[in-house]
Amino acid sequence: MKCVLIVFCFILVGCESSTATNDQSEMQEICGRNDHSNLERLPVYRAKVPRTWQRKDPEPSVSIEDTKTALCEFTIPDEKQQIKIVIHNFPLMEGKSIPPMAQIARWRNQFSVIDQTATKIIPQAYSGFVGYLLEASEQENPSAVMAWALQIAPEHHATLNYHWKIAEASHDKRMLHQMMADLTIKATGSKQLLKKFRRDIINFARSIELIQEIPESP
Amino acid sequence: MKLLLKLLYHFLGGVHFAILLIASVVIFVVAGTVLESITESHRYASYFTYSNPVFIALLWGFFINILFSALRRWPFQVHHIPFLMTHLGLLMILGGVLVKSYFGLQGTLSLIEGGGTHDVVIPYTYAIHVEKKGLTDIPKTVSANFSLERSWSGFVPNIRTDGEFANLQLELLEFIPNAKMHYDYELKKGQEYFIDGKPRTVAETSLIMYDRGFGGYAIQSKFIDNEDHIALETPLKVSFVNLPLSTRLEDNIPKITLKITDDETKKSEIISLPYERIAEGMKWPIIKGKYIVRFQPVVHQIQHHLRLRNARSVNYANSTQPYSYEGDLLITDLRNKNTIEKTISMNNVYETWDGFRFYLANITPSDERAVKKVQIAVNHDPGKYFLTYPGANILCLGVISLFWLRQRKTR
Repeated sequence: MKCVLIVFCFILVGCESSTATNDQSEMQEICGRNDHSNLERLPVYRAKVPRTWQRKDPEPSVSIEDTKTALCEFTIPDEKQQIKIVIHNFPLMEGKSIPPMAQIARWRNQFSVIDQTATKIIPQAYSGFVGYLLEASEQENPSAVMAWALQIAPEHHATLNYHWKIAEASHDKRMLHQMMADLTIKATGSKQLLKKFRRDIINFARSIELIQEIPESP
Repeated sequence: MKLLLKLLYHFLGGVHFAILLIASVVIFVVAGTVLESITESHRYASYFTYSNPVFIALLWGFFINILFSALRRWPFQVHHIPFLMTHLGLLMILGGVLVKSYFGLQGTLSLIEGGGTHDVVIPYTYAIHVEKKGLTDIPKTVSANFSLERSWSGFVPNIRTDGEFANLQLELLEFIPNAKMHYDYELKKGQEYFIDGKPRTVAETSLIMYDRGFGGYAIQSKFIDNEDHIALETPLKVSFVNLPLSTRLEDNIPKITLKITDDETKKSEIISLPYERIAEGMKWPIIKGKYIVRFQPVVHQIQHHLRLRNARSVNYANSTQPYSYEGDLLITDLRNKNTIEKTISMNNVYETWDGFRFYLANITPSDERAVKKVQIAVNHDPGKYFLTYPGANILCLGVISLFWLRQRKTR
């Protein structure tokens, strides 16, 4: 009887599988753009960046008000080649933004002869952003691109815009203006290298988010 | 008298009372199964069975029966230990059930990617949400502690207000358990109108909210071939149709009619409000836009703030058929501001140290066309760690020792 009870107790023991975490990435903050009045950059975004990636930020003494300048750049080194990732944001000018599909069309036009069979445009929605991912490569050239064109979802935009209108402190106004900005992430390199690091780049891009939580709608 | 008490004591701890309780529970279980299959309404069956006060009384009956049957062994001896352990275990489990039924929490939490909340909506409860103009940061929900079931028997209470809203008197004039709200407006999409001497067709219509709802609502109609950029606004008209009560209680959408009096301005107004099941939707202006109100479930704020980063459906390989939904959350304990990252899915529930369970119930849309909204079921059983789980362990040990000691005795 004792044996039966002991066996019964073992049967009742559940199985628990705990997966060992081997996280090789760390959360890093990315600042938005300064405005024309001062050079202070507010930390707006954060993302999980693999520790092996090299980061380069613009000099603090340099203004990055011009949207042609990247917020920051990452390099993925691999023997003789490398992948370059640039992050831009585009704060709204008089309430107008560039539709993500227009960004995608602009990137496609940057190829001299695009490989149509390898081109993918995939809808994206995460962390409150909506947009597209473009995966494309040159037809007779090893260069390729993975690029995300994102904008804050319309539901959130309405909320942020409301809070921006009622905000009194200049810091809050600047932060909300940066939070409403469109965002692009563009990785360029050779086809083979992008294929090799595809998963890491996707994980990085999909981990990007606003540091400040989007407030609840009024 | 003493004899009567002794008889009562033995009856309450006796086998006859136990059989009576077990038979009653069997009737409840059968009734619950039959009612749910006939009405296809879990809520209907629950109202007459498991959520019924008689069923709770039966649980108390079991508690008393087990307690008294153990006390009848007094004075306790060593060979009583296994028997007492099993009875203590049962009492602790029953205690856990009763604590949960009185102090537990069962609700849903709605999140949108990028946003966060710690407001749990308690389904099928009723409250009037009131906001005062100029107090935008202090929205106040006034609990209107009445229920659909009570209204069946003609119980019509008044709603009391306090604090910031002490001047506001809400009186419930009518409660309709099932009604449908209709919106109507002029200048509908696709229709042609003669404006300024020219025929013009309405291209699109949109809802306009004035001053966060304090100024009311209108419908804006924009016209095609509109060189003059003409857009006209017309009032939003609301009407209700009362419907028969469905036995499938989940389908009923109640409507209330309130008489609202503001003691400050000495004005009163009568307004009908539809029930907003998930505490979202339009808030209606009253007393010339001084307040806005919404009829909604009770909202309970918990000490864990959830932020949704990303939600996704995971499909079977080479298929669009989802086999699971997942959500990446940041969970912050508001008491010590500690934040942890957690991915929850359909079969991967997250449980906090203080017994709150978060279960991913739904994602819309399931693809990446738009920002996703998730529903998280929240469950809190306050007695789980100090009553139910220890009780189950003590019961198991008691059962094992019952067998063990009996064997030793037989030898």
